Amino acid sequence: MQDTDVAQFINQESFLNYCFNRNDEDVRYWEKWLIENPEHVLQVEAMKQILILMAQESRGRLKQQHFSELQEKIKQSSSPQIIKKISLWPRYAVAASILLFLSIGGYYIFHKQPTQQTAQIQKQDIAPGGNKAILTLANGQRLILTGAKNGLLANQGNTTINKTADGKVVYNAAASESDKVIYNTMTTPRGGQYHLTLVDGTDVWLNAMSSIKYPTAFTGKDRQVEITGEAYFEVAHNPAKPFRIMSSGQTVEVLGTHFNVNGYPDESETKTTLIQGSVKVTKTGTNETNILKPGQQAILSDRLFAISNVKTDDAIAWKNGYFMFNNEPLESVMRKISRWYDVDIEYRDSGLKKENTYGSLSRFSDVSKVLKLLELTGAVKFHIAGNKIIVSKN
Amino acid sequence: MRKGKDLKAEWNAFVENGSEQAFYNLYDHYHDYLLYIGIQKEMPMEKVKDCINDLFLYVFENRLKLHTVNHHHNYLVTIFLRSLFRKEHFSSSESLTFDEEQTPDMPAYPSAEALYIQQNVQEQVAQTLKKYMDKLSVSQSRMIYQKFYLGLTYEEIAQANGVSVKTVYNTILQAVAKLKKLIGTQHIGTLAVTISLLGTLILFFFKIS
Repeated sequence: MQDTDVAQFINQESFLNYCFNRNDEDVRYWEKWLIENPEHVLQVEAMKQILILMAQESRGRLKQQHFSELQEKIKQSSSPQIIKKISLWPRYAVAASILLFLSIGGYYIFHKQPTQQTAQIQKQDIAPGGNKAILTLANGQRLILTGAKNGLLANQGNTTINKTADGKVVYNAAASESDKVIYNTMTTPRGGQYHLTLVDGTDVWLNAMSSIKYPTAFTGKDRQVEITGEAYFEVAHNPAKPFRIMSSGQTVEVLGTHFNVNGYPDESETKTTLIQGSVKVTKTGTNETNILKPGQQAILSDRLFAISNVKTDDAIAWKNGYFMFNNEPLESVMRKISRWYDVDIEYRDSGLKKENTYGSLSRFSDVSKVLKLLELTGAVKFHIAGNKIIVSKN
Repeated sequence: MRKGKDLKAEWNAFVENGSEQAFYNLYDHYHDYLLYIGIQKEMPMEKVKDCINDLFLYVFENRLKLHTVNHHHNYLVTIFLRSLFRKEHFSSSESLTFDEEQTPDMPAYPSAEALYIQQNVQEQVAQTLKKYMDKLSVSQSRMIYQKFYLGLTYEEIAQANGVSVKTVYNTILQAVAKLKKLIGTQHIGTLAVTISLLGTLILFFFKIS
């Protein structure tokens, strides 16, 4: 068939309905036609894509043109106050483009805009963190897990500790329940994260500068661990043995569920975010409790113990390998960067700490890419000096 | 595809806090929808567009009066239609005479699939498309939008643009055939293969979502 013949199809409404998935009957008709005429599959698929691209492109152009006319009307007819508001538009453009960058993957953009600033940053770049942790056994023996080979790490009583190919630590108990309980502690340094599986099958992801103290066998009526910093849990379901997590100022109690606890000592609040299931958060030393539903976050600080609805994606972005800043103050963002890139932060202007930031990027980018993204807000600029990031006003 | 009624949060963010982003999101949606129903009511494109912009100008300048509006979708559509037909003045009072039958939904548009194609199209194809669309006249570009995005009939498009049905047919056909030729069979081939490998899965996903 000639090219033009496929183009002729667009004069048939049923073909357009098929391309834009507007009508089941026509979709079935053309799918059947393609099965009977397989030599046209590529041509038809390409035609469909061209039509969709043309639809999108023409829509974008027209809307942009009409919206510009509207902005012009608003400017002409209104008070100075409103004109000022309109001048905010470029900021949204910046926010929108940042979001766009994420989907493209950051990389592309940063290499397409080789400004002097970037060049300066890239000269002294800092690599992201990785899988690093220190396992302290009950007898005080310390195992550094970064370079350890796969396989058996240690034997403790009837429990074996193994490191798997993907770097996570797994406990296997061949133990009888009467075995004496031994506690181990896993600690991640600045610039480290680690994934381990406890003896009951519970998965724990530790973020940088965090720790978990846990028994090698859960022999009692409940399963109890202690954490500092930030950890994401996927607790193995066991209604007979509730799982308790003690962290700064609170205890979280669950039966089996997925959630994140963020309680770094340098953060003013401890945040517990529930992804699925149900958890009970109790403020230490009180009877005050909050029961969370999926999508909710318990916030505990000196003055406050409350629940709010949140985007859970933001809370567990780190575990999925992303930074996700959604209207987040710069100082909070910089603390995350400090922990993950193992750097110190210095502010030339402390007023900048409250600047709100948007954006998301892979955690495995070099620090310059993250800083470049943050610079797009137009408010701040960064300078890398050795192990320190200096934040100043743009 | 989102419907106007789903934009309650955007409406509230604009009315209560004056969020510019929310205002833009509302425009982004209603620009399509109001053009669609306006043209279906046999009104000329230019007039429909002016009514939409007048409506949004009114909304922008009278934000504080709009706290009383409960059903933003009914409100916007009703006062838009009133002004379109009778050129009445806009008001912030909510109409009680919203007629669902008079305001049909837009035909489905595969937004998610379109986004996927846009993101995965080869750079060269995207460039060719942009360059080509730049060269089209406003009226050609409008007809492509009305036919492919809004899903209007050839008759409705002819009416809205004050041309014959035959002109609409030919304009759209020529535009598509020419672009297809420019992109070239070779690139289309590669593009299509990538998609068809994934296509089955993706289409399944879109149908259930």
